[in-house]
Amino acid sequence: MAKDLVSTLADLKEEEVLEIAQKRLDSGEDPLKILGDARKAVAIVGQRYQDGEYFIPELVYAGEMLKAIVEMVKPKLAKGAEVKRLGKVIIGTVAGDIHDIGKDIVTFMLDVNGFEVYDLGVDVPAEEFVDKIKEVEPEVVGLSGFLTVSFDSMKETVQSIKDAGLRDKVRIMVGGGTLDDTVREYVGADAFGRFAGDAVSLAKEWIGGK
Amino acid sequence: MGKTPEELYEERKRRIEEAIRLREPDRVPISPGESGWCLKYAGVSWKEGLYNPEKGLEAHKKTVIELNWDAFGLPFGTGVGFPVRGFDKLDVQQLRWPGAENEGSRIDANTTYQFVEPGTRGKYDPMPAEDYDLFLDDPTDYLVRKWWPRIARGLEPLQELPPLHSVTGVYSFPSLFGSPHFAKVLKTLSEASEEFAKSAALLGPFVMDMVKSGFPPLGLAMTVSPYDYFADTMRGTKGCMLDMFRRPEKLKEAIDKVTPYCTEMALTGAKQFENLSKIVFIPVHKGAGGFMSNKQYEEFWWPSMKKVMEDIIDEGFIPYFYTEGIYTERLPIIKDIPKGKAIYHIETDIFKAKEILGDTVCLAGGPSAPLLNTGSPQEVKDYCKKLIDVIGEGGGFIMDVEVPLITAKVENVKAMTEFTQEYGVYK
Repeated sequence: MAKDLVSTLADLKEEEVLEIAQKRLDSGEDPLKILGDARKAVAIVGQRYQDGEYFIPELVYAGEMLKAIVEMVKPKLAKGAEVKRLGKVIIGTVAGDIHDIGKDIVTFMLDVNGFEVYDLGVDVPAEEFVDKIKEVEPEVVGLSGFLTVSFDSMKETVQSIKDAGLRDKVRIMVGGGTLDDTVREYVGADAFGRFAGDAVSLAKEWIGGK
Repeated sequence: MGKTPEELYEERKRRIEEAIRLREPDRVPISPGESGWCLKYAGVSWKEGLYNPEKGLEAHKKTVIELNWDAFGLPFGTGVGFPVRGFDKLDVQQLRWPGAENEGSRIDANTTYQFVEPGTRGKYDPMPAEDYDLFLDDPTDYLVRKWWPRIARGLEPLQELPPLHSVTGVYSFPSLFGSPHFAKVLKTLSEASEEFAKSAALLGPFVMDMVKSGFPPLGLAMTVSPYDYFADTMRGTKGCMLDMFRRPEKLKEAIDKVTPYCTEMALTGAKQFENLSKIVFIPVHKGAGGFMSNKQYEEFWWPSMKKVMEDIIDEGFIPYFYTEGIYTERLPIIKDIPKGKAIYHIETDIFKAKEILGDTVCLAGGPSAPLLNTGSPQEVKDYCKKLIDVIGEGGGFIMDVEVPLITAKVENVKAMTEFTQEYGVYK
C-alpha cells in the first residue's frame, strides 16, 4: 500500500497527503474511513502541540489539510453519515471584542478531539449565547476574550445565562489574553484555561470520554 | 520651594534615560501604557475621545498630570492616534471602532477600536497569497493600487489606474490624472485629508503643552517588525503561518524587502522629534511564544527585527521593543542586542527576563490586567513592591503594566503610581 495517510498528515506533508487521499478515494474506498484517518492524524498533531513539539502554525497547517480532505470526500459521503460526537460545546468571543485567533485554536482542538463545537464567532452578545444554549443544549460553554473589556462582557454573559435559568445546565470555561483565575472568579465561570489543550481537558473532564 | 516645570522635565527625562543606560536613577520611573485608559479616568467615552480629539487629548493631559507619571505616550485612545473622521470618509475596512459611520466597521460604544484580522473572516483579505510576486515586483505600486483599495473602500477606484511605474513623463500624466477613477478618489481623499489634517494639527501643540507642563514624551516615533508588517495587516496571522510552510522563500524575500522600510519609518519619525525623544516605539505581536517555535522565530521573525533595531541604535536612537504575550522562551534569542541601548517591554515572564536580559536592556513591565481590573489596591502595591525589589534592583527598570491599562480600576492605577513614587526611590 501507498504511504500512510495518518503519518503523512501528522508530519505535515501537504501535497503528499492530498495525493494519498485522492488515490484512496479514487480506488473506491469508503470516504468515512479516509476522513477517520485524517482526523486521527490531526489528533496526533494536536497531541504534538500539547507536548510542545508543534506550535500554532503547525495546527493551522494541519487544519488546512483536514479541510481539504473533507472537501475532497464530501461529495461521496452518504447523507447523515455523521461521526459520533462526545458532547456539545458552544464557543464565542464575547461582546465588544473581535479577536478570534485564540478562540479558533480552541475550536479546532475541541473539534479534533471529538466534540461537536458551535462557534458563534466574535463580538457575540450575551443573548446570543443564551439563545444558542436553549437551542442546542450543550454541556459546555466557552467564553473567549483578548482585551480587558471582555472581563465585564464575560461577567454579563454569565449573568444572562443565570437569569435565563440555564446556569446549572452548563459548565462555563473562559480563556484568552491575560486572563487568569481571579478573572474566572470575577466573571463567575467554572474554570479558566491558559492553553488550548486546557479546554480539551476540561471538556473531557466535564462531559466524559477518556 | 517647588521645582519649576523645566526642572521637572529634565528630572523626569533623566530618570528614564538613566534607566535605559541600565543605571539607577533617583527612583524607578513610571509610565504605564494606557491605550485609552486616560479616557476612562477623565470620564470621556471611547466614541467621544475618537470623534472629538480635543476632548481625548484633554483627558490624556489631565491623567498624566494628575497621576504625575514620568512621561506621556502617544495618545492612542484619541482621534489624533486614530483619526476616525477621516477613516469614515475613506470607509476603512482594516479597523472596527465605536461610532463608525459604516455599520460593518462599527463596534459597541463601550469598547476600544480593534484591528480586523485579515483572511479569517468574510471577504477581508487585503493581500492574498498569490500577490507576493506583485508585491515584490513593485511594492509601492502594489500598496497604492491593490492594498489601499482593500483596506479602505473609498479608495477602490485606485484599482483602475494604470501602473504607477508606467507614468514616466508628462505625456503620460493624462492617463493617470485624467482618469475618471482618479477624479473620484481625489474627491474622497480631499474630504478625508481635511479631517486628517485637523487631527494631525492637534498633536504638535499637545506635545509642546505637555513638555511645558514638565512631562517628556516616551517616544513619538513608531515602526513595526518586518514579519508583523505582513502578519498584522497584509497576509494576516494565519496567512503568514501558512506561508512559512507553503512559500517560505517568498515570505523571506518579502521580509527582506520591507526591512529597510521599517528602519526608514522609524528614523523619519524619530528625527522629526529628535530634540524631545530618541525613543522609537515598536509594538510587536506575531512572534510571541506559541505563535511559532524558536526555530521559526530565528528563521522568519528575529533576524530582520534585530537588523531594524541595530540600525535604529546605530543612528543614535532607542528602540522600545514592546512585546505582548509570552516571551519567556525567546529571551536568550532577543538578548543579542547592544547593551544599554534599548527598552524591552515584557509581559511574561519579566522575572525570568531580569535574569537573562537584566545586564543588556532596560526592562518595562508591571502588574497584570487581572490584578488591575479585579484586584485591590493593597494587592497591587504588594506586587509592585516585588517588582521594584527584584526587577528594579540595580536600575534598568521602568514601571509599566503587563498590557495597556484600558479598563483598569482607577484606584489600582493610583495605588501603583503612588507606591512606585514612594517605595521606588533608590537609596
